[in-house]
Amino acid sequence: MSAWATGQRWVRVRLVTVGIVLVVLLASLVARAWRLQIKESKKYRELAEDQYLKEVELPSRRGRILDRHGVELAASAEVESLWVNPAEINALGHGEEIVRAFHEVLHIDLPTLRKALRTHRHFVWVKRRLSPEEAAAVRGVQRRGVYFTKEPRRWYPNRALAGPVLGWAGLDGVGLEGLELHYDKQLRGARAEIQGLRDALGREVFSEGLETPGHGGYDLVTTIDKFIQYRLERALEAGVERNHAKAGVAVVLDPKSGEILAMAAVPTVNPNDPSLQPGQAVRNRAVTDPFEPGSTMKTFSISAAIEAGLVKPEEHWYCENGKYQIGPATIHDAEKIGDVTTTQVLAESSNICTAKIARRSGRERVHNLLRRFGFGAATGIDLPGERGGVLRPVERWGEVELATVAFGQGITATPLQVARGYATIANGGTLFRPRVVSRVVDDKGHVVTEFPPEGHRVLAPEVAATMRQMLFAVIQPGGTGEKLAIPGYRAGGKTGTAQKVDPATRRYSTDKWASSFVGFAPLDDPRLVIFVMVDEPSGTHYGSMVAGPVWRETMEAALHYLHVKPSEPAAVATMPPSTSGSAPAIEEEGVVSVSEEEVVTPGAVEVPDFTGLSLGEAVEMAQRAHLALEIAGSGRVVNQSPGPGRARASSRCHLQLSPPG
Amino acid sequence: MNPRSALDKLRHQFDWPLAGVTLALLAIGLVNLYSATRVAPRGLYTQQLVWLGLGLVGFIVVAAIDYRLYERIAPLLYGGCIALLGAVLLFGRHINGSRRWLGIGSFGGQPSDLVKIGAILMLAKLLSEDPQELRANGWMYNGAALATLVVPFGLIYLQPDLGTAALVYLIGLSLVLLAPFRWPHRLGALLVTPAGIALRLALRHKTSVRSYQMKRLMAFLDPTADPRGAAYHARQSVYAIGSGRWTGKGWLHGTQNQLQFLPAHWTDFPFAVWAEEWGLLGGLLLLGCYLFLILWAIGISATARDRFGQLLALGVASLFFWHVVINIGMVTGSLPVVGVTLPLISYGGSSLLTMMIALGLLMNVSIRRYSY
Repeated sequence: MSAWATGQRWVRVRLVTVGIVLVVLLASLVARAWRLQIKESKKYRELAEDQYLKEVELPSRRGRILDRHGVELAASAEVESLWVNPAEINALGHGEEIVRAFHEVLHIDLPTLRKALRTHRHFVWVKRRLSPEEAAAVRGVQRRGVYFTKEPRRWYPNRALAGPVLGWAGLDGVGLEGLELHYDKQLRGARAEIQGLRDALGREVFSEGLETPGHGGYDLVTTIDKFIQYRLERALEAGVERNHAKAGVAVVLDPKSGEILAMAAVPTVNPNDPSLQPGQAVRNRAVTDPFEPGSTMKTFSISAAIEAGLVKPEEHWYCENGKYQIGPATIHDAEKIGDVTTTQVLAESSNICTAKIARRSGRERVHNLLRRFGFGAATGIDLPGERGGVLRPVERWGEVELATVAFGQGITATPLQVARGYATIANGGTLFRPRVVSRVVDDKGHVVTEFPPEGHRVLAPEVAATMRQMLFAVIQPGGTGEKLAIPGYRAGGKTGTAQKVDPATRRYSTDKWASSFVGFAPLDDPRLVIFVMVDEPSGTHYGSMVAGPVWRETMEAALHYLHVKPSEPAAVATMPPSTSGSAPAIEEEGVVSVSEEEVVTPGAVEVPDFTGLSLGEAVEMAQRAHLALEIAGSGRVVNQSPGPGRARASSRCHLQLSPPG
Repeated sequence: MNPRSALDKLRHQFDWPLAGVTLALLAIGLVNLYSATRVAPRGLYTQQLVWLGLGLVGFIVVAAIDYRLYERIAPLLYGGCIALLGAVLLFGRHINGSRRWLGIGSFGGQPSDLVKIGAILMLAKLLSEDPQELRANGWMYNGAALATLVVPFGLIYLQPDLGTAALVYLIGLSLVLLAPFRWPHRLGALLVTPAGIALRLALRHKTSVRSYQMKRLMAFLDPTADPRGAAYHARQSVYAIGSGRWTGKGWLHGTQNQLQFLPAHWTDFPFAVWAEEWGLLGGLLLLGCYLFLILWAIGISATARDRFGQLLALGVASLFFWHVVINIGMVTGSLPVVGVTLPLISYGGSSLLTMMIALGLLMNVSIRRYSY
């Protein structure tokens, strides 16, 4: 100490100075802390709260769309979405390893992945809505900074089945087309809102549950029958293809309630297709596209005359041998017809005599009946985008208009409107509002809303019965639909072969036709009304030849499926042998007898590999392989017994189906 | 000397207040770290406990051996630290674009922490020469002292870690300024720093300032410019402290901390966690501990038995002072964000070990004040 004695005083001075400086500096830190924590505390507390308090919206599960038997047509499944925390990954320094693993598993190219990680952010999507296989593979890459979040994905287990009717919902679960759009509110349900804490990664950390009650999306129980829908689509597709036609549209109605059992359009749409955009040119033509129906309208103009008592079915008419002048216009028939009864006028589809019958009724009666049958106004079906067609005001009808409207020109109607008109005749005179959804139910199956049939009488039962008998004659020998008789059943119907207006010339085209057939069965107690229209067929264009087979095929399959008793016992013998003796049935846990020849095929059959197929595809494949199927579950085939290979011909193949995801 | 009287002597000479404030700070550190690491990668807390054990052993060992031994071997210790810094540049682990770490497996540390002790010992030895000699050859001693600092500064700067390099320089420079030089010499030493910076800026067109340094500096000048980048740390820290008020949100209830808004809060930002959860009162308690510790160290310096002891105690005071002021300054948004730890509170093995060794040296000087 002595050595520093001279400087000792100075040392002390210096130390005191240092001490003062130190206290001042630390005091300034305290002052800073006081300013932050006390003086401006409110501001900082609010800024901090802004970051972590957030109104959290809980998206509820979107409801399912079911067919009339409860089979899922649309459903939502929770799927995994993959995201990363680049800040975390970069801090840990294993970014490249993750990039390579993702590249290998998800086939995302390396530059894209590297770019995604080149950020200070805490949240970046890598891929949303992974397939189960992808999710499992990514789980193998368990690294810090890699996370999964569950997101709902809309799933249509039957692929394109009833696609235009179902419509589709977008990625964010909002209905964009079809039933998904029309019933969006019910399907979405009410969202629950709760106050949540949000952490720095934006993840929700729930604390106090200040929950406003919500409910999950409701399920729609539709009137669609998956089997009939499937058969209708296959038959229509085949019909359009066979005739090299531009498009096709078909509707199956239950005449006793107005319920839509099936509704199809070709080209169709697979709502699972992620590239679908709203407003795309995929229309549900049965409700959105009015057309000039042609001869199918004759039924209604003749009904007006019968109803008024002005015409009897057996009354004779002279059809002018195919050419007839009305005012300035000349009317033609497809074939020269001479002296026939009213019934034959309809059966042979004479334009000339229909015009004569309409003239006797007068324009008011014809117009009045068409209005009562709902032409010129939308039916009010629960589907978006419906149009009503054009029925001109009666004051504007001249002599020629009355004649042409009577045989279906100068008036437009949607396929649904025509089908409903025939349903009205089939059921004895009640016009029903068509429906696709019969009830809305909650997740426990309790009915939330029910839509009972809405109908009112528009035609006397006797007139309807008379018309049914006349329509029966169409499918009898001599009628335009004579080749369309269904063995064992009596049916009624009408062909329609309408020239289309060429948009270029604004005149009736000579090669563009709309070929249709509409009819019901069984005749005495109709269970089904089926309308089929094939648009612009090449080659033959007669409704009976183009649309008729589609109608016949679907009607026959549906009658068997519904166990409708054949009305003519003698005809049973002509029916092809059926394995079970009863009609084929397709149900959740049912048995489908696909092949009639199965029993007689000796030896062995080749069992195909059904794995991964939808029910429809499996049935089709089984048909080709002459195999009977037993089906359990719904969705896609996950298991089959026996497996692919040779098997005894009489054996059934058991398929286990499971919803994907 | 019988064991009993030796124990009595130790009891009399042992610096209880110093030990008390050390333990208080360590306790605050553990409590705070528990909260801060709840959202951190697993194992951080237990690892810190292991380091604490090592630190206590280091404290006792360093305090037990008479510090005159350190005076003799100071150049050796200093040289060892410099060698470690060289090794880091050659073999160190790359983290976030710089080499700062040396270690085996998950155990390791930053030699730039330890070199602070080496530099303090070396400077204390150099400046404890006879004051007459110091005054006579002021320029030479000044030059030697600055060279002692420039070597570690340069090596750490190359890592690159400008913040730590500057900190080592600052701690040492404080000691040089307190040595009994003449004022011209002192001013000369003081002016070397701006001269160095001027030189650095003059050469700037050839080498560019490291981009992360520029970013942090720019972020400090305009914190709103880069809301999720460099300024994000500072802003989140200010939110945390600001929302603490008088008594805080309570232990484990700091939302900024627990919800991970505070990045790496267990290393550089533990004061923000502490202030958010314990409020201004907690912050005052912590700052009070530091103030007491530093003033106590100055007191030890004033009563040390020799010049080396005086300077050693001052060096430790300088080490704590600058760490605390810079860390809390940065956490409260008054200074730019540089990686300076809060002594005894921050997570980090080598930092804790360095501080415990420094306190061991302080205890050493304190205990031996009365023995001749």
